[in-house]
Amino acid sequence: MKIKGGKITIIMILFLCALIGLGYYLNIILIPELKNNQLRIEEKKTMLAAKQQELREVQELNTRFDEIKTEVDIALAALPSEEQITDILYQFSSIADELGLNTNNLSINEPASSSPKDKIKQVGITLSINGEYADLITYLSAIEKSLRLINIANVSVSGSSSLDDTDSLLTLSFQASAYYTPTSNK
Amino acid sequence: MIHINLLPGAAKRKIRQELIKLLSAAFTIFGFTVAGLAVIISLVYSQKLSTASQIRKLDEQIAGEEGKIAAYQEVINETSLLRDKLVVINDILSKYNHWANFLSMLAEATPAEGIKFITISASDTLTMNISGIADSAEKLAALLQSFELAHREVLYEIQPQDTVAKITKLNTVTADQLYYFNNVANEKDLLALRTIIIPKIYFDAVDLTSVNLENDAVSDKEVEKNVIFSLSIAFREDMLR
Repeated sequence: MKIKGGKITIIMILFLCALIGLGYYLNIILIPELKNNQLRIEEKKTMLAAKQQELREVQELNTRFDEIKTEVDIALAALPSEEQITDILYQFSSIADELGLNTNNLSINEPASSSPKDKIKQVGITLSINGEYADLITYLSAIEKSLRLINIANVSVSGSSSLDDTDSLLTLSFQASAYYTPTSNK
Repeated sequence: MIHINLLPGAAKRKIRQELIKLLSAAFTIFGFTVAGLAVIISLVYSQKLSTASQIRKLDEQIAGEEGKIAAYQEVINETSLLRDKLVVINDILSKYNHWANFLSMLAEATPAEGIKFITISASDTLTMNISGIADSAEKLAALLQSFELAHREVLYEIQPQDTVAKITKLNTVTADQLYYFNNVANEKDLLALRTIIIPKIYFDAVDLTSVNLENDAVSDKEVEKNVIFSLSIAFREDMLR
């Protein structure tokens, strides 16, 4: 009877060990792995949906590629990727010529303070021009409406100090900034 | 010590049989439990394999979509460039100054006769200095009054829930200015109107910083005096936008 009882105990212990081992494997290893996989599937599905949406958008954009190219050209004219100082010179002098105004002084320089890391860079412009009040306003308006973005920070207009002198021309001076975004953005 | 089992043989056999039954039942339950657990594990394991395969499939699909997107790289680059430029352009335009409008408004606000500006100097800090000459003190007073009232008019339709406090808060205008420009005496009369004028006042402050009388012509009978003046003005952002 004693030998039989010992066998039974061993078998029972083996059963128990098997139960604990299988339970451990199921709960601690297998189920968390399965849950993790299910989570990853959800993430991947979301990512796939995002990529499919991106592809649809890109395909849609591709159908309007010519339009986008034109818009990019306009944007580049307003905000070029380089200073294009000669263009600024040409723009200012051609507007003055068109209105028959006499440019006294035009200087263009890049401010020393502009850091290489700056996303937007500025070109400083200082101008002095002679003309009648209405023509000076037209000149300013043409500069403000030009495709290249030129923002005038301050203006001064000066004229003759005699109350009776209505014929002499006025002098308009201003400081402005033209902008560009360096090519690294492209 | 001697153990003597006093139970009869039949009773002993019965107890042994019951013990065997109990043990076999216990083994059966254990056996089924272990077998059941093994079945569950195999099911879960097969699910794990299936999910792993799904992940691989999804990875392949994602890679496929990325490959298709990469074929449109030029469109992506151009669009990205356009987007970047537009962000900067909009930022610049939000602070863009319109000095041509400003000078036109200034001319409109200045009386046509008897005043001449020698210098006008204005900056985007919304301040302006003017030096000029008036042919009399009255003309200078007229200029100052004109500047104080200088405005452009915006028509506004009164809404049922409007109050003067609400309108003044939204439009940077005082109640008195509203009553004055709409020719009414009080809030009740103003709100009774269907459409009102909201004056967009040009100048916040007009200070006469210096004034000098200058002898223009001297005769025995009459002395005409020009007035040389300078003004310091704080103007509103509206004038530049």
